[in-house]
Amino acid sequence: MGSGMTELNSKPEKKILNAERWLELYGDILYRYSFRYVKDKQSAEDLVSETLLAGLKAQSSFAGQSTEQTWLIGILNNKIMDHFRKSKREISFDEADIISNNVDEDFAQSGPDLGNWKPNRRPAEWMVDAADPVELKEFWLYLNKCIEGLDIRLSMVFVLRELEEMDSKNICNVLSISPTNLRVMLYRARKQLRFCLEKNWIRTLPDDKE
Amino acid sequence: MKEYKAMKSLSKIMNYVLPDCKEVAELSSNSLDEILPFKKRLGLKLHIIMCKFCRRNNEQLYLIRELIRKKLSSSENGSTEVNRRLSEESRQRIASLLKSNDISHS
Repeated sequence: MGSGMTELNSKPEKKILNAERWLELYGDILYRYSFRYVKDKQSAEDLVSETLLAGLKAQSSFAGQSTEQTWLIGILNNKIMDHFRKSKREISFDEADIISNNVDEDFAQSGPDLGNWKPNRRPAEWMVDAADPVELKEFWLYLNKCIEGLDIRLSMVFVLRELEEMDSKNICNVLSISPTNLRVMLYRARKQLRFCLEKNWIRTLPDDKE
Repeated sequence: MKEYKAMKSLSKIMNYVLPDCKEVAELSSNSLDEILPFKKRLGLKLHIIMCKFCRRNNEQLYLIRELIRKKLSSSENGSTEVNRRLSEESRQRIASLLKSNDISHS
């Protein structure tokens, strides 16, 4: 694309080498991450190429506070959100919405039980055999369904933290959020997932009354 | 029964000192990402000893992480969702797209 004139000093050969190296190193993770959200091969592949192209253009803005990988995932995240903005019904994209909505539906808001679990939200006893591969397979299935049910921002923080095992600092970089907001978002995501798994997957033991 | 009553009143007293369930649930989640300051760590631990719902919640959050780690490490042998990769054709398509957008040819 015609920006060649302004790039005289920036060794374009090296730039393109970079993009090819990124494809080599990070292609799979970018693709896997895209696929989770767009759910078809072609769109996921397109997002990967768009991300690498955007990375090429923005290379000079890569300041090195994060690794190349987190930087690229940050670009990809924005592309995914654009994709959803264009294609999907209303989703909350602004973490301010998520954070400011601080009604916590799991706990009593007032009265003598203030801050305690609401009766219908109390965690049940789980019967899970972590060593059983069949259960693990089931778990994985339901976990992914439950992740899909999350608000997209919550799903991104959870996926990056637990499935891509990224540390908090990098996630803050990737999603441009503060550490405090990240904490709240991870908390919300985990809470909703735990509840979703309990309702849909888990065989629970009936509770002896408290 | 006496002990039960004593436990009840003890836990009432502790409730004043310790974080409530809502705070504990937040601490449980936070503890997966960072080392909590001593006071919070202690509050979490003590509360969890006395409150089975928060104990379960805490255990289950850790179990979820454990199961995910297990799944990720076991999936070298198959399982597309975890091991999804760009196919060779996709790679080549993307690579040639990158080349055709290459500003060096201008």
